Amino acid sequence: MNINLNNYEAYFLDYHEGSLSPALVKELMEFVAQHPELKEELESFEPIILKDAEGIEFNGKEDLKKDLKGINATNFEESAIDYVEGNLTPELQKELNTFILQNPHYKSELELFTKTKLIADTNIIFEDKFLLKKGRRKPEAYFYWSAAASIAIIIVSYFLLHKNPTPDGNIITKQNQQKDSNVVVKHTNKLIDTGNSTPKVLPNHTTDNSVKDNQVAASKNSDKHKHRSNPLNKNGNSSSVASRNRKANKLHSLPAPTQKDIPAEPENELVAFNGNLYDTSMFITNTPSAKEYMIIEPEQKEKKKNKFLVMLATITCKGLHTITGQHIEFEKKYDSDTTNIVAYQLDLGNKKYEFPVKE
Amino acid sequence: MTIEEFNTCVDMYADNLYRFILKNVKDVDKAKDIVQDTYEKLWLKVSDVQSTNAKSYMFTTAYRTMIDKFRSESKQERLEDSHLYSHSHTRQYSDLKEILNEAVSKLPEIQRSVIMLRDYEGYDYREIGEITGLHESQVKVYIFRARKFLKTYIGSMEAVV
Repeated sequence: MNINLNNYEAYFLDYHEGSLSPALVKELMEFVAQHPELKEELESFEPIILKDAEGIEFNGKEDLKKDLKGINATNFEESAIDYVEGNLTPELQKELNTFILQNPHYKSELELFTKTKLIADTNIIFEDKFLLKKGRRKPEAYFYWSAAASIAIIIVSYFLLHKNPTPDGNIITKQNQQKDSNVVVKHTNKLIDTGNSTPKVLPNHTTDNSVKDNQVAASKNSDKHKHRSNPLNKNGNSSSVASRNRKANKLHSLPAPTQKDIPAEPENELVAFNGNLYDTSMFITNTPSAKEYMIIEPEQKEKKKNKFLVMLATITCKGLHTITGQHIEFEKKYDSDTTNIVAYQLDLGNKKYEFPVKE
Repeated sequence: MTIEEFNTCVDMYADNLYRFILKNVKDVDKAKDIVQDTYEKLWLKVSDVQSTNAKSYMFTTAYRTMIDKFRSESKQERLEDSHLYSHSHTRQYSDLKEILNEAVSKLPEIQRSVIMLRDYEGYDYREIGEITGLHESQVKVYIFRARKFLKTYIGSMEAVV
């Protein structure tokens, strides 16, 4: 017997639904006889049948049905649109023609539908196509302008970077020079910002050989370079170039001074650079404030130069990327531990060039 | 897609794209911006997009960019309702083209887009669905509604003229 206490409910259900075979019915009855406690359950087991949905009907069935008789007044619009859309089969197109012939007043309707077909206005064009194109295209005028501007920037940068180079020592560059632009006086002096907007020069009274080589006959130039008094000193300010007790027309060695060595009434001094003789006072006394000076250590200058070159390279790469559409990028590589720049990389997409930074 | 193919796409489709967008946004500068944005997006995907799919890709991108712009400017019209079915008869029209342009401009944005993609570019319902993100049956419904509206509009205008 397959019926047992674990599955008898399924047989009860089938029994009530009438889906049990006579053999199984007999078997079920024998099972219930063996388990009289289930007899009550079998008698009370009645399947629940939901009958409350009876009588609910969908009344729009006819509207959903497709007209098998072909095109008529009901489906004319749909057919006309299908005609405009090109979706009608040859048979339906024939039917439509027949329908129009039989109902001429629909002809104008069909004509109106055919007029809804939009036609693109070919006079409307996108004029700036050259802006959209990339890479190997015919160069436009802006390309030449960009190229010319880039070359100009590079040339100007080169001359800016190589202007008045000094191999070592401090550099005092006077901006807004009246006679010569950017006169560089080579000294081993230290310039100290006194904090009151006036730079202080602490000469060590030494002149290196390169300066000596640049010595010129000061007497020839002395008339050209009139000595000027230092107005800052007149005000009791401490800015001055210390150079004392020597012939005014000679370049000289200066001993390392302290601040108190700086004389209250400094004499003006002539220094030579690149074969020209300059009055040192003009670098510090003719200017109202320290803002007119750039005090640059050699390392700082080198740093600035490098920074400028990197910036120039980055801009140039960006420009070239814009012009050519190729992947051209100039980027920095950092050390993961120290976050110092360790190299510069030129990324050309398929090729990469690395330039390590010197220690 | 190669650079040459990309540039060919510019020559072949930039005008079509521009017309489609211009008719929708009705602003020359915005339409140009969207065309440029679209080509920039295509350029970013130039290695992924096949030249045969480029047109569809661009129309899809342009359409979505346009919708984003509409939304960001809070000027999006209701997609479903043709609330502009009512129209005035005060304007004088010289020809059918003008009437049709006027009628198209009065279509809800989604209907205008699908019918232009259908008539201007000859896309089928499935392709229009891909571009606009609609189901094919929805595309058919919108085209049906658009044509019905255009027919009614043209009929009423012709009666006036």
